[in-house]
Amino acid sequence: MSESYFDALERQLAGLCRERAHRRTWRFRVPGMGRSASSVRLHRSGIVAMVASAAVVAGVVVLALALHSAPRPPGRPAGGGAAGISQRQRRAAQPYVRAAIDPAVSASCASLASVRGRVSYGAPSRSLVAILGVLRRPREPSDLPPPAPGAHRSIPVWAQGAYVRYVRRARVVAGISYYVVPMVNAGVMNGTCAAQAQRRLDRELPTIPAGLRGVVRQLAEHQIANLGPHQGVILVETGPNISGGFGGTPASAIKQTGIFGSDQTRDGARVVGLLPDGVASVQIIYTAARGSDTPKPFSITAPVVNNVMVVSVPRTGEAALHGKMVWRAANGTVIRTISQH
Amino acid sequence: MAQSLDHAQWSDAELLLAVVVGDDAAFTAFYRRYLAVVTAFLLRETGDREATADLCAEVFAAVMLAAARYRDIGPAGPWVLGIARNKLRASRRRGRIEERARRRLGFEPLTLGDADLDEVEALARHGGGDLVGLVEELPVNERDAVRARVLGERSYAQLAIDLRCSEMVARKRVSRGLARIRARLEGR
Repeated sequence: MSESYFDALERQLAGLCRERAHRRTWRFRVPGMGRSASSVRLHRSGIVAMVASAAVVAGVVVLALALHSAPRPPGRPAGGGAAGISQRQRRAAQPYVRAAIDPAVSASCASLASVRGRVSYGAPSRSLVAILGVLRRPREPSDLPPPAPGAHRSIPVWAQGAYVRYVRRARVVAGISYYVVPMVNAGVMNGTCAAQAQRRLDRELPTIPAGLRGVVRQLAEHQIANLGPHQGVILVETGPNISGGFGGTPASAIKQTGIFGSDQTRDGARVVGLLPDGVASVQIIYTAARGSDTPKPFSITAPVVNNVMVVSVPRTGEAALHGKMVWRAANGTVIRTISQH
Repeated sequence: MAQSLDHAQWSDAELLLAVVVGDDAAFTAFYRRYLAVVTAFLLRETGDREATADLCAEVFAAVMLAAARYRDIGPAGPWVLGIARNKLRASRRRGRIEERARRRLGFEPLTLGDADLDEVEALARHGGGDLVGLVEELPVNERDAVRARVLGERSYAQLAIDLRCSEMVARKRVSRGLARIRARLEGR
């Protein structure tokens, strides 16, 4: 019996739903690095303004984590990971990578509860503390995460698996609090699931066309490392009508690209970023955009306070992240330029 | 399948968030939750089964694209029907069925058979009956608010004037009414 229209509609849209999430990554060029190593996959972190339930907050974190750029797997040479692979190879390899990894990122494996576990009273890695001054300042009562609304837990879901003594409220802007939250494990898969994904990949590899095998292995292992257990930071925003977070980014990636997200607002978007020490301001340069309220090129500069920048931009949520970013030190010298390509 | 059972228990906000992260099972659950209601609304507005089926595809494609912008202010019914209303208006304005969301997603066109057109009617009966019947069962305050907002397409500001209450109270009544309807629908 042939499939009905509404069943076919459901099937096709569900497939596109999955496809779309996998496509949602950007490539950024970091000047000053060699060509092969210059492409950093930076997730559209935080893409979304968030809804108020703690469970949903956890979901956003998953979104961010699933897409973020993580460090190279231990033992892999510089320039390894997913670098040096052409777009064409990437496209061809992607279905095989997904087939190997997706079952491991199933509901049970991607459950934050199984990944995160309890809070940690320990300290994050030195490399992380070294690049984020806000984590080095003494803890204050205002740094305590607000309790989850209506929940029996005393801390919200997003703080599960956090180094609670190192959670810092970095800023409060327009009634919204921005917390920097170092995580014991910012991955979305626990070690068991990561190992399961690796085993599945090893099993599938011989069935993959020989010409693609190397690329698939490289991409899949990179992705397993991204999704598997690793220490990282999330930036959480809570306030009236908003409660969300993004990131899951390790120290090395914060140093290179920071973490940026945007929330849709009534007048455009609010861009929020976490930046390493030394960055005093961020200028975002937007090119002309057809169909936008602000079709002409313009730029906006925001100060960085306690490693966090917050700025309102007259662009819609996603487009607000489509800009060239110039990081500047307090004396005005350019530290880094990040441009989309 | 355990996973889909779990998704059926999720709130609309949780499902839509999961849609953003590419959870196809969450999309399926959301689609099944609202397909009949959307179909009923569109068939009532257009009176055309083919146009309804076509618009349904566009509405759910738009739901996927807009999922990240959904704010958890209660059940997503008004939000979904708002999308349906906008698509309907755009289609009427242009004189052809809107398909922008589907184009953005790279959606492959589907074919409609006679059996599918019958299914449109069946779904609409189910969705319309469910919705209208359950709306009527609501406490008076909530019933009037939901009727005006969801079925009558009134804005919250207009609703507040109609019901002689503040906008906040109007929102609360709609939200409570829809939550009650959803709970009943899910309990069936």
